[in-house]
Formats: sequence, structure tokens, C-alpha cells
Amino acid sequence: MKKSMIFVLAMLLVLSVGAVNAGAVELRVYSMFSGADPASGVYEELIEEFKAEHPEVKIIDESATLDESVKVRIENDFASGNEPDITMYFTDSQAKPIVESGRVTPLNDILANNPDWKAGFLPSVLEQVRYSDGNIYALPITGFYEGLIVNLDLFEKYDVKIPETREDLFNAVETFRTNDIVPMAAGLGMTPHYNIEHSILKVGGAAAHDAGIADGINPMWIEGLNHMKELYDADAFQKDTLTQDWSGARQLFKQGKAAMLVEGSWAIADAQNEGANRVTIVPYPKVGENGNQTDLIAGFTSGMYLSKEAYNNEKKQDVVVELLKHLTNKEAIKKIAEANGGLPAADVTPAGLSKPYQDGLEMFKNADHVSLPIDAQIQRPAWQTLVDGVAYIVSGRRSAENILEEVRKIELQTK
Amino acid sequence: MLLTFSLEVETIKFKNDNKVIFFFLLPALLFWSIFLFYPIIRSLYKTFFFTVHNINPEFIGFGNYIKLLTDPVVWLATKNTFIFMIAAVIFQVGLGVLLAIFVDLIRYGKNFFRTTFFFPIVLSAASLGLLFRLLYNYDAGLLNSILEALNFEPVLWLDAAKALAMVMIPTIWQYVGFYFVIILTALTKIPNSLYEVAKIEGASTFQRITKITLPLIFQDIRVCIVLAITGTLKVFDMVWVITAGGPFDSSQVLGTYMYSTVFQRRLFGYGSTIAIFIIILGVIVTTLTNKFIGNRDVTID
Repeated sequence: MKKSMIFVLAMLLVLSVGAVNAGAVELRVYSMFSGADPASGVYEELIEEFKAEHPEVKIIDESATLDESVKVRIENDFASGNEPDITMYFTDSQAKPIVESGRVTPLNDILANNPDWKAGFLPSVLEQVRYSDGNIYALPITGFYEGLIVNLDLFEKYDVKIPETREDLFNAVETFRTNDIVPMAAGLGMTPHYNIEHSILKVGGAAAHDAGIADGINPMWIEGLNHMKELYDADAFQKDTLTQDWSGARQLFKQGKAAMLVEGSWAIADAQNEGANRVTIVPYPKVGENGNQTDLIAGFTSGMYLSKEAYNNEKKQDVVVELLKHLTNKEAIKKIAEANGGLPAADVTPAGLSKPYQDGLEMFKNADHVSLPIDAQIQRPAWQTLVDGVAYIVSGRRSAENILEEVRKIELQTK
Repeated sequence: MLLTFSLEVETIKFKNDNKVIFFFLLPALLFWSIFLFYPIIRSLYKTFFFTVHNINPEFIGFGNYIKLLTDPVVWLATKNTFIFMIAAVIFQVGLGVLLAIFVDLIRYGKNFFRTTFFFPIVLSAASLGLLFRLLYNYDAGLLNSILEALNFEPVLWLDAAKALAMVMIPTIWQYVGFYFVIILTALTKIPNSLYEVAKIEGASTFQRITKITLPLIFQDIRVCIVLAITGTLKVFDMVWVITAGGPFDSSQVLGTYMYSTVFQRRLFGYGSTIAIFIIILGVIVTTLTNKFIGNRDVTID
């Protein structure tokens, strides 16, 4: 009795495995469009469309919100040869483990053979995602911009000018503090990323911001970090900012308890809190002599990678290229940009954007210069050392010079 | 152990069959080899390399170990882990024993308390951590809302002085029930006749507890202490969710420091070195605990 049961179960298992494999092509796709991401709906539609057109293809969608643990999983997948056929990932310094694993296909020739597809992308954007070896490995969809998200209701209620200079900024901090409003929500303890970038950019200018740290410590980086300390000393942040991350900061802004938030275009939807807050996004104020009012942190730092193994597999080659085209053609880019309010990688005008997103695009068009974030330019261990150092700097426990020396040491060791 | 096992087997069916023994041990051996021994050996190998992103390893000899010895955060994390350990033994096991003895003394409602005290263990540490993080929040947290309602000044709960204690409270609270249940079960093994004799002899409740109950459950308390100590070496999720080791590493424990080194700084070699350090520390501490508490067997005769 028992033996026959086991036999039947074993046969069923064998049959079911066989049925799945019969003739079908399986494609594994990873994207960041998942969960609460505003573009996840559009992305799923695109996948469904493709499935309908290609019934012989089975798509395994492995999309997940990209947090630190997922990043490590992807890096390890590439290191161990378990990578998806199409992977959406970063194209900045974080691309190193992906590209140098040798498991992604250069897309230059594929694009050259498909002139229509290639013409869909803005040439300048393709330049931005080009890897340092001269190849394009990833196809961009949307980009981002960062800035100072302000709660217009609070600014009007307390009659505060939206800051453009250092003086404006500190006046705003003072007014909001006396009215029991947190002037600027931030997660300085765990995620001070955007505050670091903007402080250095608006104190020292784009050249200083883009200088990296390998060639020496730029004095503007020290001043930029000290600007954060001045803000901290002026009580600009929520009291428990040193044990908070971006989610805590956003929560505070969302609830209308904070007036300003340094974040990216991806956070605008959350900041509006379904229309409860009237918000806009403006450039971080010019803080130092070398800063420039309209300069921004913005750009294209992610794209879709194609695995070498899938491309070299005769059975998969055509469909995987077809799927990549389906996800990154002009119409797809437009749809995704309309959903997430990001900068489209194609020459299209997203329709139906709400006011803050229109303001954001306007801000982007008016920028004299755009820089990629610092973490796109220095290596991960060095960047994280700087991130962890911020709490020490703003509280006065260690000097900015001291932290930056440690950052530089690890950057040189990594290179 | 192995010998007695084989003898027992022999009496049932198999005649001194080594193959059978091997066969029964094989799954466990495979499991431990693949998921424990192999990763430990891999980690040990990695400690001799400078590896970022787990690619392009560069051999640096004992470089990571030298860094470990000179890294102030490692020593701060070790100190915090030991503070955590002492607190776990005193409060988790201590409160567990105390509560178990109290509940054992009452006549009605034992099951109610058993369920209530055990309940937090069922919840995941990550969600409890999130809950406590919200409680401690300065601007919108429950604790400060209560203080404000009572016209007190709000308190910055997670500052450098208090952060470690603030992450210890939920961890201790969560596991008290675990030790409580172990001790309560041990108490039921003590025959009632002993207490009855003591009562006839005129012993007070306090005397009964110190002269009968505690000596007889000493073995179980010992197990609890070892579990509490080894459990503390692994503490991670609660601390990570509430403070991530901050501010200024004041609540950093070895588990969180290892995690952030590997998964945030991407220093796989150095992170592995911290992992090996935790293993060595664990072996030393467990050996010392066993030696220190001893193996005093008390039997009911």
C-alpha cells in the first residue's frame, strides 16, 4: 500500500516536471517595479502583453523592491551564475559586480542591428549609462531628479519663503521650530544620502561634488558636511534623526509634521500622501559661494541588463531580445514615465502628470548642470563609511576631516 | 551515545549493522555539512582576502585579523554583547524562574499565564522591533504621546546613553516566556509527595522553594542559562530594526556589526572575520559557562 503510494507520487512528480519543460522557453526577469512602486502596474501590463503575444514563452517575474538585501542577492546571483535572463539594475559604480562578473551581454551590436529601437532612446541618456569600458550593457527606462520637497501648506501657514539661499534656509528652520514644526525631516542616522549629496553640491558646486575622493579630500566636502552639522545644531531635523532612516523621515513629512524633505522624484507620490499635502520640489538652496542655485542631482543610473547565457542560447536568443525590446521601446518608456513621474529615457512627453511632477520636470529643464549622486562615483565601502560617519560628524563626536580620511583610505584600498 | 544507540538497535532487529547506523546518521551529517561546516570553512577561507562585492578577492594574509584587533567598533560591539548576555541571564532566565515558581504555586489559571507569557515568542522579532521602534519615536511615538498627555517633556528614548537598554527591553520581554515554560515543565516533574512531607515537617513556602524546588530544577536552569548566553551571541533582528546599532554604534552588537559590514559596506572578507570571531567567542563562552556552573546532578532520592 505504502510502496505503491510512493511510486504513484514519484511518477506524478516526474510527469509534472516533464510537462513544464515540454517545448516552452522560460525567461526569468527581475525589475525594481514591484510592490509599492508606482510603475509596478504598468510593468505588469507590459509583461502580460508580451505573454499574450508569445504564448510559448513562460515568464518568471522575480521583481522585488530593491533594498540592500535584494542588492546583495542580485550581486551574488551574478557571482554564482544564477542570474535572471533580464535584470534591471544600476549602471553607476554599483554596476561593477554585475558587469565584471562577465555574465552580461554588451548591447551595442544588438542596438545597431535594430535602428528603430535604438532611435527611441535619447542619445545623451545612452551616453550616461555607458560603462567605463565603452560598452552599453543596460538599457535605461526612466531617470530621476532629487531636490528639496516642501510642504506648501506649512510654508503658507507660517508665511515662510521657500529657501533659495543659506539665510532663507536658516530663517525657515527658526520659524518652523518656534511653531513646533520639524523644519526638515531626515534619517541622518541610517540614510543621510540625499543630505550629503546636496550639502556638498550646494556648498562647493558641481565640480567639487563630482571630484570623488581618490585624488584627495576636497575641502568643499569638509565644508559641505559641516553645513549638515550647522543645520543639526540649529535643530533643523527631528530629534531622533540619528536613529532613523528614510522611511521614518518620509512618515513625518507625510503626516504634515515636517516642512521640508530632501529626497528624489520617486518620493513625491508618498510625500503628497494621497493629496493630503500640497507639495512641490525645488532645488536645494545655494549654501556656499561656490554653489549654484539651479544645479541638481539627477540622471539615469539604472537599466535593463541582458544575460550572456540567455543571449548565447539559441532557443532563447530571439525571444529574450524581443522581451527586452518590449520593455524598453519608446511607448513602454512613456507609459512607465507617466506612472512613476521619472525622467523618460526616450524623446517623449509624459501626459497627465500632477503638479509636483510638472514642477520637477521644469526644475530639471532649468538646471545649469546635473550631477550623478556621489555614490555613483565612489565605491560602495567608502560611501557606506561616509554614510555611517554622518551621525558622528553632526553630533561633534568626530570631525568631518577625520571621517573623510577614513573614507579615502577605504576608497584607495578598494580601487 | 553512539554505542548505546547501536546496542538498542541491536536488540530490536539489526544485528550489529554499521550500515544501518551510518544510514540513519547520514541525513543529519549531510545537512550539517552543507549548511554549517561548509559555510564556516568558506568563511574562514574568505578571512584571508580583501573582497568587495564578493568578487576579485585579493590575498591579504592576516590583514583582516589585524583590522579586527584595532577596530574600536568591534570591541564596543563585544562589550555590548556581553552586557546583553548578563542582562539576558539575569532577566530572561531570572524572571522566567520567578514567574514559573509563582504560577506553579497558584491553583487556578495556570494555562492562562502559560499562554500569556509564551505569546510574544510566537511573534517575529522583526515585527516586534518595528512596533517598539514606533513606540520610541520622538515626534509621533506612543511613549512620548503619553508623556505629553500627562504634561511631561518628551524624552529622546534612543540616545547614546539609553539605546542599548531600549533594545534589550523588548528582546528580554520576548524570551522570558520561553524560559518560563521550560521551568514550569520542570516543576511539574517534582513529585507532590516531597512538598507534602515538607509541609508535615513544618517547612515554610520559602523554605520549600529554596530547599526543594530550586535544587531539583537546577539542571533545567543550567540549560536555560546556556541557551540564553548562546542566544545572545546571535541577537540581531530586534537591534537591527530598532536602531541598526546606532546612534554612534552605542547599541551595536556583534551580529549587527557583522551584517552591516557584509551587507552594507560589502566587505565580505572582513565580515567573515567578524563571523569567525563570533564563533570563537561562542565556543569560549559556552565552555566557560559549563565549567563555571558545573554538572551537579541532584536526584530525587
